[in-house]
Amino acid sequence: MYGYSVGDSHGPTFAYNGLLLETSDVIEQFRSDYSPGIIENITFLNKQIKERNPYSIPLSVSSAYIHYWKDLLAEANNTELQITIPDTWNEFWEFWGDNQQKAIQAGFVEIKGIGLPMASSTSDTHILFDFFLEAHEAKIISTSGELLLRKPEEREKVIKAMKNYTSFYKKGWVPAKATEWGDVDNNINFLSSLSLMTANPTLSIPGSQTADEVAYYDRIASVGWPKGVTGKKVRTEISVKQMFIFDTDKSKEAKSYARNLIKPENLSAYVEGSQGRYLPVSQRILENPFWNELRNTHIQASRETVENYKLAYQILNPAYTEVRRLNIWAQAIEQVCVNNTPVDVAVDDAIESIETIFKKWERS
Amino acid sequence: MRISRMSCTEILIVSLTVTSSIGLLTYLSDTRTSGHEAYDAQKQVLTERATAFTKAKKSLIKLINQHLNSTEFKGKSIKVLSSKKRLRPSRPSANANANGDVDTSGVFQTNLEAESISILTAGAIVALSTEAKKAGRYQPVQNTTTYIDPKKSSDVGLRFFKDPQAGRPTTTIALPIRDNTNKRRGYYSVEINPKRLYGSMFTQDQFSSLLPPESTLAVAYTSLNQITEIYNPIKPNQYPSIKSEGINNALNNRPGPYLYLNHQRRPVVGAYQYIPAANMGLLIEREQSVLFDGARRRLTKILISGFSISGIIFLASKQLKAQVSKKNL
Repeated sequence: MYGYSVGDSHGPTFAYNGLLLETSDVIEQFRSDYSPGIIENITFLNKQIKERNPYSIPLSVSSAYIHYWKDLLAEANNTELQITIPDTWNEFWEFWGDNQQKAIQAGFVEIKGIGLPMASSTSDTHILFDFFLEAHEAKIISTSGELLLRKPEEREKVIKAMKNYTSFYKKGWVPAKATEWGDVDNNINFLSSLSLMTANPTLSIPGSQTADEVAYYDRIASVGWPKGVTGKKVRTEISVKQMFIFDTDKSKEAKSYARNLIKPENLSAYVEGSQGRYLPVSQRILENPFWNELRNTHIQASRETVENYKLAYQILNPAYTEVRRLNIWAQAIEQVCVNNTPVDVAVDDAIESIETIFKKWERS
Repeated sequence: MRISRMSCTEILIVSLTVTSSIGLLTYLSDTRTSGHEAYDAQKQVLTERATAFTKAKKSLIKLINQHLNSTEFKGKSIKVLSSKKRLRPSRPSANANANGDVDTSGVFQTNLEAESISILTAGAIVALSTEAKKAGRYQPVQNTTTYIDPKKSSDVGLRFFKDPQAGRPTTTIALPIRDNTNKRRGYYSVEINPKRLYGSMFTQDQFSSLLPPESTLAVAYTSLNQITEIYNPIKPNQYPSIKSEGINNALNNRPGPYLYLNHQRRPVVGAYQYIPAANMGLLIEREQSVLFDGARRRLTKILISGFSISGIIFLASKQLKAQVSKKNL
């Protein structure tokens, strides 16, 4: 089985319930070639044998990246000179709010500064809000898998992160329809030049423009995430695109297929062929010229982002897959933006839902 | 049993039963005959309209293709697509000069009844459009248009989408613009109002050619899970989701009965078929209440006559029985 987000939303659950085959024998040959973080992010707990093992075949990896219209920013500022984008958290976001005003004054009357989703109908909201949690140093789950949201100091940090995230919508820096967006809508909104910047899981936005060199290289640029509120680098949850082999009578054939697929020549053609949306998991493939073009800010920014990885919460505790599937954080964000629910109330509701999910898992 | 021994009531019951049976059998035979005749006539109209629709679509694609292959179009459109200056939404003052010295006359063909025509970049962003509002917008070609690459096949079924702004279905045909090295440099995108394609099935806006008149229903999936008419000639602004056994069979290219309940739950005689040229179901329907009016009238006549005769026989036999009883006394 392979799916765009199935690794994050279901993989750890499949492994926990003993449905998957262990894959160490398949990936062993390439173990030393995998980029840092890849093996850890496919190592799941199996409750029957109470052990953690690799339970999938990693094919590619991605995180969420920030893209902006370079030429639009230049037009808004009426300059041909390079514009420096702040790399500190609050200044970074203020920058886009300020430039929204400049762009409007320059005649782009429909434009918004920030194209972040505020809807529970897209998984992007959860993924991007995780960067805000990291930037505010909120910890959801400990390395031993314990839920930390019961601690008042973590709750406070989550409230600050959500206040920060939703404040852009309240200030009118985000498109009004962002509370109704699906997965593709921030792409469409941004590519239609209706927001100066956006953040998006995978490189699908610049990827859609690869056939148009003017747009891909000259007009759209990508930057890394700014430093967190205390000046520390914001670590990113990486999403490994992975193939699962279920424990069935066809598993031998599936493993043979997987062995062939992950040969560098095959995997390289596969990853490069998908418009460079995902990065390769192999360090050897990453050395190919395709991934090292200096003028390609998209690939460079994505490489920097992924290198600064952290272990995804669902790896630490598979109960978090359900939090992702139900989009609990996104529901809270939508409540704040649409119904004007106070942030602390929305966060407390989300914490209660997450606690219920974890308790259910503990009992199972 | 001998008739002379039957009571008057028994005679009445037998007489009414015979009358009803004759009436019912006649009605069934009449409706079957007129149903078949109606279906055959509708099937013929259906075939004519399906052919007309397919022809109209083919000629539309041919017209677009001819334009794309003209030297003038190629030269000018590629010049537009090579320009580093691009149009953006909501900046009318800039739009006027955004293409600098590029002459855009003749880029858009005028021999099409299109809602709008646009030149899209290879990344599917509108670089130039007959509709100013579209400039700079992104149009995901694979998901929102009918993409036809004549080098591969022109025989691609149209896809319809319900445009939330226009409040009606629309179809956009996108073809690649290639340079002399055969590299795809962008797309030529033509938005067609389905009214035009629907109208192509009729001669001089004669929406019916049968008596009693038929209704022609052209239906398609206009969103992920909604079937609507592609054009509603009676209420052109209303496109609710519709379903019926005929619609289901037509869209699934499946044979089925010709007597069914239509999308308004009215019994109809329907002929239908799938039109691959447009991923569409075409239905020619007529209401049974109108078609079977003659049969119903004949049934009424039979029943009235039969019941009258039965009544007379009943009264006569009663009279006769009374006289026989008197004689016996």
